[in-house]
Amino acid sequence: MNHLKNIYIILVCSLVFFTCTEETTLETDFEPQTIIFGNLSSGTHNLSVNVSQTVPVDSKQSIPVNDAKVVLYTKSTNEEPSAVLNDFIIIDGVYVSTQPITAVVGNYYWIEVTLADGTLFRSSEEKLLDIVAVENHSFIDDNLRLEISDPESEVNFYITTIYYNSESESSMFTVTSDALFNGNDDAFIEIENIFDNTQFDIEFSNVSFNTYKFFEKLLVQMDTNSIGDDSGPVGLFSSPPVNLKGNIINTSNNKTAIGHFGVLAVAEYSE
Amino acid sequence: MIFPTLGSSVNGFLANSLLKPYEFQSTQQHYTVSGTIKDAASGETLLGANLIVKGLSKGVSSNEYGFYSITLPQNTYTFQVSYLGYVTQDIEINLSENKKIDISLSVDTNQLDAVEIVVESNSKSQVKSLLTGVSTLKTKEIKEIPALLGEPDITRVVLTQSGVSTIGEGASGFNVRGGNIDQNLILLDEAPIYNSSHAWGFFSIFNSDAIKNLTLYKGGIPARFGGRASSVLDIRQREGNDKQFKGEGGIGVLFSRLTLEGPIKKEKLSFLASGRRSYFDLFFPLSGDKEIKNNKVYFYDFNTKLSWAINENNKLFVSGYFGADVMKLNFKGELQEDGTKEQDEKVDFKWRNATTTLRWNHIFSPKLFMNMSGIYSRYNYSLSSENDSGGGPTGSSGSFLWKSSVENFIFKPDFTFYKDSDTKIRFGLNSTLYKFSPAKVESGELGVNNIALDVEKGLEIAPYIEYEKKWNQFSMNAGLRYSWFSNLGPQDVSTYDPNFPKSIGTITKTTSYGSGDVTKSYTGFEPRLALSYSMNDRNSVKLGFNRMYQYIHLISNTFASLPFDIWKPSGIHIKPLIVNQLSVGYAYDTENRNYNFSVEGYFKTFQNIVEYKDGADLFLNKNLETQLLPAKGDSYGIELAAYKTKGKFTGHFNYTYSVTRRKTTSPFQSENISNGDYFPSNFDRPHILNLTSNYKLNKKWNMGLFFTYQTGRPTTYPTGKLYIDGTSYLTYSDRNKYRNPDTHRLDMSFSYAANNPNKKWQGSWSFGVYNLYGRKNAFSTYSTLNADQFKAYKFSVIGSQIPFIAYNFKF
Repeated sequence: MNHLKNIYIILVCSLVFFTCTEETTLETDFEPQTIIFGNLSSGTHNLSVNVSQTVPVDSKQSIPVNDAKVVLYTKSTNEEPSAVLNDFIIIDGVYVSTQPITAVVGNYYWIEVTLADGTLFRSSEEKLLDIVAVENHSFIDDNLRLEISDPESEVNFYITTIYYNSESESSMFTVTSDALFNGNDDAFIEIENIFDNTQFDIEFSNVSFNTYKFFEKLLVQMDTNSIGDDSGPVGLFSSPPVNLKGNIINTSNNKTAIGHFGVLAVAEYSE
Repeated sequence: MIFPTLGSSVNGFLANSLLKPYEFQSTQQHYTVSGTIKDAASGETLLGANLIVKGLSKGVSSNEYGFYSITLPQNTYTFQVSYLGYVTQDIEINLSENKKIDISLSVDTNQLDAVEIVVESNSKSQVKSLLTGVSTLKTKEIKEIPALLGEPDITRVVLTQSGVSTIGEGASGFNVRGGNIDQNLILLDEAPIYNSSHAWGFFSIFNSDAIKNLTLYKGGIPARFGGRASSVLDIRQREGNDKQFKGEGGIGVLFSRLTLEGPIKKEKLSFLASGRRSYFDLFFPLSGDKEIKNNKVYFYDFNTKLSWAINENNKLFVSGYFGADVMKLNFKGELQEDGTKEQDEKVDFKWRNATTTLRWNHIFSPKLFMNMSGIYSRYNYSLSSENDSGGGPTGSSGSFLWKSSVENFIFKPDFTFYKDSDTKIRFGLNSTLYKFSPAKVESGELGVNNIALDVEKGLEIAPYIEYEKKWNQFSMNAGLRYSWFSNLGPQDVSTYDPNFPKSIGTITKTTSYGSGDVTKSYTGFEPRLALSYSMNDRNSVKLGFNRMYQYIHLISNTFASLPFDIWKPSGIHIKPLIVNQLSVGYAYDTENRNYNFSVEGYFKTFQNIVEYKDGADLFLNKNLETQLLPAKGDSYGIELAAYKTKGKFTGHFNYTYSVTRRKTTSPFQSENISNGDYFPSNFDRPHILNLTSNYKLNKKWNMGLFFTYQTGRPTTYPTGKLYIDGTSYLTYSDRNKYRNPDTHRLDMSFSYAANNPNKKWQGSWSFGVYNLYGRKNAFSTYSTLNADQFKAYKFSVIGSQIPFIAYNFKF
């Protein structure tokens, strides 16, 4: 019987192990692209926007763009658009506003970035939504559960960023839509692998669908980029890989650029 | 004055020489001979058997139920009746009245000797076939092709045909002449099948022992078929032996099968029951690992059919199929350091097909045949998780039950009128009520809602008519189908601001439709035309055109489709897919039809294809249309095929060159894929070469080979890198700008059959190697950025040789 068992297990398991992964080289054409990334949070903060260029896949260093002009615009429902920030300190492609800004719930915000060659990038108008609060927390099976007050009247999308101390200081973020718990009195979000008694700080952001999708793309890439050499059937049931294109348009060619400018209604919560 | 006289004289001559014979013919009495063509041993009806009137260029083929009818002037005729693999029979008939003659053909046992048999039916000739792009395969042919793990597989056999491709090994479904996998109408005894794969795509659901015949229509699709835009795979189950009890089966590495058939009342009422189950999970308990031994992972099929010959003019068939994939996984919670125990968890995942077909054949007269079918088809899946709450608070079990289904209720009366020996008129009605339940989620978790997405219904009604006519060298099948489709409530439909891309942020209003309310209707004329001109007995040219409307769409944004992909009907936001196809062909047979050659070219256009926005979010999305993009496409190609069907060495070679493209057409340029330019479809493989061969070593041994070479499928490669907040990410090329390496594979099999006709038990062995030289064909290419270090990999679903052995038997 043992022989039969061994023969059978070899035959069947061999089917599973017929899959094969090998390292290979890819020959592709590289063309530099401009990346713009920034977030405007509720409350009063200095705005920070990163402008850089893509590099070849085997490069180890970002190429900052230090000669662009950045302007933040806003408008309320009944007002004409106005520039609210146009003075920035530039360090290695990071544009930090010299003045803080207090973002107003219900107002729309967007940025324009003009490169030295005159190319103009403009983000779409994003509304600062209402803040959704984290009410409580608990730990269940090595997961941190955050109880939230999800409003029933609207479809919501959330980004949860956690800063915590484990072996070293860490942070990570998750994205969630309320498709599974819209308006539920006991709505919650779970963050995996946060153990009981971990000290943490949470930034819980109510965001637009566009911002949610952009951060989801970041997460999907982080997952796929970090798989191991023996990860099995990669690609069989995956979707086509996507560029990290968000809500910024290159107005010179009407194409969507790499990057995103998000507007986040942030609720803070700490253990 | 002379001319009128001469004229009248000429007219008189013409009248004497031409009209008189005509008058003679027209006054001569015509009679019809009709009946059923059957297998002499089993009573199985033979569909597509040829009946040719010797000495006249007239003939007829038996229909899907073995029925034939031919009307000729009173005379004595010799009919030659032939069918692939059977002894051709000559029958002399004195046609002095309408006659009903059932014809029985015997299996050509001499084929086993396989040396110098020259029978007309033993040919794959396309010369006399009127339609372009049609392949017919019998079970015997399917079983001769080397198969993965020795299990004859219909989907894999379809993939050996020209013009058919797949995105790769292990992917569900197939692509025909540039069409997506949801554009294939797969019919099992007329019932549509929505998921034709087991084990996530590795095996087809069709048990070859229960199958009589399959026909693949790639072009020249007759008007009686509709509802899918690119192809029809018409699979017919066997009826069961109506003369004696028989059985057959097989024991393989992965699964075993058993078929029983026989008469309940001899030559009146017969049954067929055929089952198949994979059984590797039966060995799980032998494992010492408790994580393995408590699990069950298997699939099974059950085919059944009852055939009742009520009387000469009425037959009733009830057939059914039920198959499922089952995964029951048990995870034991572990004890934690603090003394608490993790939750035990049971996961139960099933997906199932079920069909029932009730058919009534009625012969109104020797010239008028009717089949009326009532069909129910269902595909559903369920995923459930049961937890014991572990150490968590009440309501933290995480238990849920997720269900989704597609159901069809179909009524199809179909009539064939055999007007005369050269004219056949077929007409009828296809009516289908679709019911789509995309997702119903019941949660046992506090804080998680029960969710039920709108059940969507659609009604499709399509009358059709086909007119088939033969002249001396010219044949025509002209058809027209008119399809009407309505999307029915109840459902809530969103309206979007037309100045912005559809998103939940641009909804301007939501309209609620009540039960049965029509939310949107579409109609379309679907002309079909097939023309054939035979230069002589061995050469013919053909032309085909078909327009197809498709009102249901598979929503899937993954390379290989998944069992839990959902279907969605056309409605306010999704227009019907419209495909036009023009095809031309030339067929040539060598003398004695030892070799059959054909070449076909086609051009297809696709309107209103469903494409997906980059990173589309399809999960439980009530506003799915916000994730879709309108698209169009085209495909064209040329297919060369050669068959050798006689002698010890037989084989089939085909080569396809094709191009398949897509282009999204959103008015908002920023959301178009690849900036709105054409891009290759995921399954665009320009060069495909297939070679199937079979060599009869002697009476007992047989060797089969299959070789395929295909251009690598298109893919999207990383082209650059960027950094956001210190984390590196990749940028990618335009969609499908690059290609995976080309693929090729050789499979080999041997079969041994003792062939002792004196023994009731007939056993045979087959063994061989799939992927003989261990080619590592890349299914996908992917990359990683661990610690900012870029690496690229190619993944092969099958990266080594797979040996197999199977024992088959009949009794």
